[in-house]
Amino acid sequence: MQEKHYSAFNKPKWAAVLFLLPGILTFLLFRYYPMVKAIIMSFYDYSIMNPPGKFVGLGNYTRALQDPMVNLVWKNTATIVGLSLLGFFIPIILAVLLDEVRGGKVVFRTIYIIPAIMPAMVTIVLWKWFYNPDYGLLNIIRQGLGAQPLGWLNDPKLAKLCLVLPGFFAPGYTALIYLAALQGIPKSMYEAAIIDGAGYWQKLRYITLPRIVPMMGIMLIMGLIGAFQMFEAPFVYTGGGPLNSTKVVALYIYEEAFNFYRMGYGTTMAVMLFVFLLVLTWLQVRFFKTDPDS
Amino acid sequence: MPIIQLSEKDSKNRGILITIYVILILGAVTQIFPFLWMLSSSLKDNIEIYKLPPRLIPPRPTMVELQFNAPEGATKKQLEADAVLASFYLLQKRPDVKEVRTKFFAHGKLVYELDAPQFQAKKLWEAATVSKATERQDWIAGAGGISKELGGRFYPDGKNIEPTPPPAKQSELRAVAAEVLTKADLASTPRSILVGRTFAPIFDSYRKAYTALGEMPISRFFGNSLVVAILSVAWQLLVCSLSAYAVSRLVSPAWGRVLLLFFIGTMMIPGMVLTIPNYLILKEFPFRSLFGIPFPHANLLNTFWALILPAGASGFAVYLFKGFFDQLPMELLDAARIDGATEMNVFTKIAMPLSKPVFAVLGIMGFMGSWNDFMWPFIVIQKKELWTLMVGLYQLQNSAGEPNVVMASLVLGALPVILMFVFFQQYILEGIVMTGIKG
Repeated sequence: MQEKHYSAFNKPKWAAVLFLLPGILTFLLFRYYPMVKAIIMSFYDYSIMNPPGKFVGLGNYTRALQDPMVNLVWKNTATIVGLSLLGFFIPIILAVLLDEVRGGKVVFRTIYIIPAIMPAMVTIVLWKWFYNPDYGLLNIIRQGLGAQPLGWLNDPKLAKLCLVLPGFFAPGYTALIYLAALQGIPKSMYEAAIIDGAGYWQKLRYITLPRIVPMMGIMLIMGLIGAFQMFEAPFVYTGGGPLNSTKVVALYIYEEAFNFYRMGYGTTMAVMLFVFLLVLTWLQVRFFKTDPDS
Repeated sequence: MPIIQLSEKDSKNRGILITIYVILILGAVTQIFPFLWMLSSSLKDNIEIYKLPPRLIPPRPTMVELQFNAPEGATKKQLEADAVLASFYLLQKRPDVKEVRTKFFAHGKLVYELDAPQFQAKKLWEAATVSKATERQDWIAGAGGISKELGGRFYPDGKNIEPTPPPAKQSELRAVAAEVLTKADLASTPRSILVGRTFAPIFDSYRKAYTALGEMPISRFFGNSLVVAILSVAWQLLVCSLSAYAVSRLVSPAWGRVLLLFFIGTMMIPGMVLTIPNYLILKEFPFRSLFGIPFPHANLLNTFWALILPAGASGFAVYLFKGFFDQLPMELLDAARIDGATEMNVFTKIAMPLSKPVFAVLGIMGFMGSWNDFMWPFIVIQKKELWTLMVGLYQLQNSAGEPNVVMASLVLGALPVILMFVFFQQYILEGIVMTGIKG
C-alpha cells in the first residue's frame, strides 16, 4: 500500500535531511523543548534574573493543591465550560437546517459564517458595548419590553453567562463542519427510508443524527479543550471580575506568570491543565477511532 | 444530502421546508444585526451615541452656513480671521453642530469660503488663544495657517454663485448663531444664516480612531498585523511543506511514520502550557547555554520574530500537506528525476504547483489565525510601535471613553476578514471543514 508512494529512485539522503531540517528545528524549539522546559520549571521557584532559581521539588504542586484561588478558578472554569455547553446543539440544528436549503445556499452560508470567523477581539469588544448597563443594547431592549435593566458583566451571578453568550450567536463555523458530514450521507439511504414510509422526523432521528454522532463527540472534546484554555473573553470582558467570578485557569496562570513573575508557579498550573486536557485528548482519540467514516 | 428528497413534494414536507426557511432567515437577522449595530454606532457622533432610545440609522449631522458681507477692500487675511473666529465660537457653543461653513460676499460675489468641521474646533481654539493673548497680527497668522489646512478658498476677483433663498422658518439654532455673531466682534457684517445637514462628518469617529492611540496612528498597527500575518504564513508554509514532502516522499516508510508522529504529536500540546516557556525561550533565543557551555543568544521579545518563528511549528499544516503530497502521482515526480532534476527542483517545479489548493487553504487560514490572534502578541510585544491591530484594539477599548471611536476601530479590524472571505470564500470553507478532521 504505502510502497507505491516511493519511487524507484534512490534519492540522496542529504536531500531528506535538508528538507526536514527547518521543520525539525522549529518543532523542537517551539514545541518539544518548551514542553520539557515547562515540566522542569514546575519543580523550581523560577527566577527570571537567575534561571532556573531554587529547586522546590513538588512544592509548587502541593502549593497549587492548597491554593484557594486554584480551587476557585477551576470551579469558575468548569462552570463557564458547562454554560458554554448550553449552546452545543445550536450548530447541529443550524447544520441540519442549512442542509435542506436549495435556493440561496451561498447567501445563507456567507451570512452565517462571517460572524464566526470574526477576530475574537472584535466580537468581544462589540458585545462589551452591548452589555453596557447604561447605554448597551441589551438593557435598552429589556427596558423596551418593560423589564428591569441588568448589570450583565458587572453582576457576579450573570458575568459567567455573559462570557459564553456571544458564542451562541456565532454557530456558523462548527455548523459548517457538521454540514460537511451531513452532505456525506448517501441519497440512497433517504430514498430507502421513503420507500419504508418514513417522514421527516423519522429520517432525521434514524438516519441523519446517527451519522453525525461521532462528529458530535469530536466537536464536544475539541470544544472542551478550547474552552478550558479560555483566556481572551474573561481577560477583555471583565479582567476576571466582578469578585473573581470570571477568573479562569488561563487567566490565573497569566497573572501569576506575567503580572507577578511567578513563572514557576504559573507553569505548574499550566502543566496541571495540560495533564487534565491530555485525558480529554485521549478521549478524543478514542472517539476518532470509533468513527466509521475515517 | 438534504433529508427531504425532491420526490416528496407533499404539503407536509413543504410545510417543514417553509418553517426551515423562516427559522434560517430569522437566524440570519441575529447574525447581521450586531455588525449593523457596530457600523451604525461608528457613524454616530459623541452625542448621538448616548441618545436613548438609540437609532439604528443615525440622522445626518447638522451644518450651519454663515454668510457675511465682506467690508470694503477686505484683505484675504482679514476674511480668514473673521471666518475662523465665527466658526470657532459657534462650534464651541454648539457641539451638536458638526460643520460650520462661512461664506464672504463682496458686491454679490463670493470672495472667500471656509468649511470648519467640529473635530477641528480645538485647532481653531488654539489659533484663537494666540490672538487673544497678543496682537491681532499674530491672530491673523494663526488663522491663515488653519484656513490653509482646512482648505479655505479665496477668490480675488469674486465668484458668482447661485443665490440661496432666505430661510423660511425661524429656528432656535439660527438665533443662537446670530447671538454668537454679534458677540464675536467681526470686521464683516452678517448677511444670512442657514441651517442644513451634511454627510461630511459622519466618518469623524474613523478620523478619531486613526489617532486615538496617541502619537501612533492606527494604520501603523494595521500594517504591523499585515506584515506579521504574511511573514508567519510564509514561514509556516515553507517549513511545513518541506517537512511534509520529506515525510511523504523522501524517507523510508518506517522513518515516515516516526517523523509524522513527531510532527502531528505536537497538536496534542495545549497552547497554554507552552506560553510561559516559549516566552522565556524567546527572551534568550535559542539557549542561554548548551550543556553548560555558553551559547550565543539574542532577546527576540519585542521583535516580530517572536510572532513569526513559533508560527512555523504547525502540526496541522504538516498533516494536511502530507496527506496531499501522498496523492501526487509518483510517475510525474520520477519523470522529472529521469531528466536529472534535483529534489528541490522536483519539489518546487512539480509538487508545489500541483498542490496549490492546499497551499491556498493553509495560507488563508494561517493568515486569518495570525490576524485574529491576541494573547501571544500581547504577551511578547510591549513596544507600542510593534503592537498588532488586535493588541491596539484591546488597548483602545481599555483607554478610550468614546464608544463610537471604539466601534470605528472594530470595523477596521473586521474589514480584512470580511474582504478575505469575499475573495477566498472557497478556501476558507474548505479550511473550516478540514479543522473538523483534525480530531
